[in-house]
Amino acid sequence: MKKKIKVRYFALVGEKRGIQTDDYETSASTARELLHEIEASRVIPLTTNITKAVINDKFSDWDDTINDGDLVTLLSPFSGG
Amino acid sequence: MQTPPPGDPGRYARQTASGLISPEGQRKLAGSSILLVGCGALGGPLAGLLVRAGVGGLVIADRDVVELHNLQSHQLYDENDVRERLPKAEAAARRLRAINSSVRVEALVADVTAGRIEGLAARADLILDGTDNFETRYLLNDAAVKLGKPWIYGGLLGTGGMTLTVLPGRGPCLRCLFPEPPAPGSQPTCDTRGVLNTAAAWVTAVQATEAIKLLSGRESEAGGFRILDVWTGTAQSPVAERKGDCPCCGRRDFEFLDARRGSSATRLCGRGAVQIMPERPVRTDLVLLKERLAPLGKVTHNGLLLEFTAGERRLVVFPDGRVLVMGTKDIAEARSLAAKYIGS
Repeated sequence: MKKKIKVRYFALVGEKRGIQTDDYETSASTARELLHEIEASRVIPLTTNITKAVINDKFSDWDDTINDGDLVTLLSPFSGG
Repeated sequence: MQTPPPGDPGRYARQTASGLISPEGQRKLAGSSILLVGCGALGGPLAGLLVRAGVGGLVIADRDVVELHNLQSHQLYDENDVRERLPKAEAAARRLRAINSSVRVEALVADVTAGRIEGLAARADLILDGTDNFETRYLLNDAAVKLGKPWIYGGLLGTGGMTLTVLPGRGPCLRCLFPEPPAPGSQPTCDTRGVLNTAAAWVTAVQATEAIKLLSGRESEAGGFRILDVWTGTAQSPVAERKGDCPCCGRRDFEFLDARRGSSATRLCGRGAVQIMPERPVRTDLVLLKERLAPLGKVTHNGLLLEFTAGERRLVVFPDGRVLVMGTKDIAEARSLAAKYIGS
């Protein structure tokens, strides 16, 4: 049963720029499975090496579950300064 | 019209009139000491804002020299600084003393290393992040947590920024959120992916506001993690919690401060080169790195190693993450180049 979620990420290249929120359907159960699914399908252009997930505005662990209606932000810390 | 003397409290009248900084708060600000590590796109505006706000003292540590391409995002510097090839810390100190002569500004033209950071941090009430690499940030985090000093992380990339106010003992530290620094070469940098100066302006506004809260007696209102995007004009504050088993603030294992973690740099005798070894061999994607560097200059990849020419210096990157910076014997300069182009 696919879950309807939203995936938020920074678009660093391409036509769209800045923080994006895309509708996404997934069969992933955890944040880790979601990331692997997105990396493999390349439907969403992740342009940094993702190291952290935020689920519904709370920092999460990769084993945390993804539920229908969740907002998942995929990020890695920025190094610039 | 006569200029009021620098110590004139009327100078800060608009701040105190806001009600957010009381006259007592202003006095606390005037008695505060800040350590600013890095004075580039973040550090410059940070220093400017806080010096104008009337902090007591500021030590600026930066290993770089002002270059022309800095002027796009580094608010404190100008073309004269480029012509004179001034170190950033020195150029910043001159500008800041002219802005507010009642602030004690000290310039330290040096790499902030494990050996130096504790002594510097011990003298400060607050540590501000103006760095351009992860290694130094994990070092700052160790030092701040060990000494119980607050520090404010700031990071930039593209149109985006992040900040985290670390209050040791009260909230999460950097390693609670990001336990491990990204491997060198694994992340894009402002040099390879670009940065808008407007993103720097927003991130530093947030960092400086947090600093003012902490230094003027409103500590209870400081804290938190923010993700900012200046292109969409949006901000988020995901909830970040302390982790009881955090290696830094939980187990108090200060492995970066003790130099058990982190890369090592050595001058190669007679070769005019510096070698930077990652803390352990890390599989580096040279194909991706070549793609990122190609718009910036001459880069070749022969399947065994990657070579990139940056002005008069040449960077050689190996698949295990080792970097040779040819054409310099200056370790700080070599580390700076590696941070800009490869990411560290």
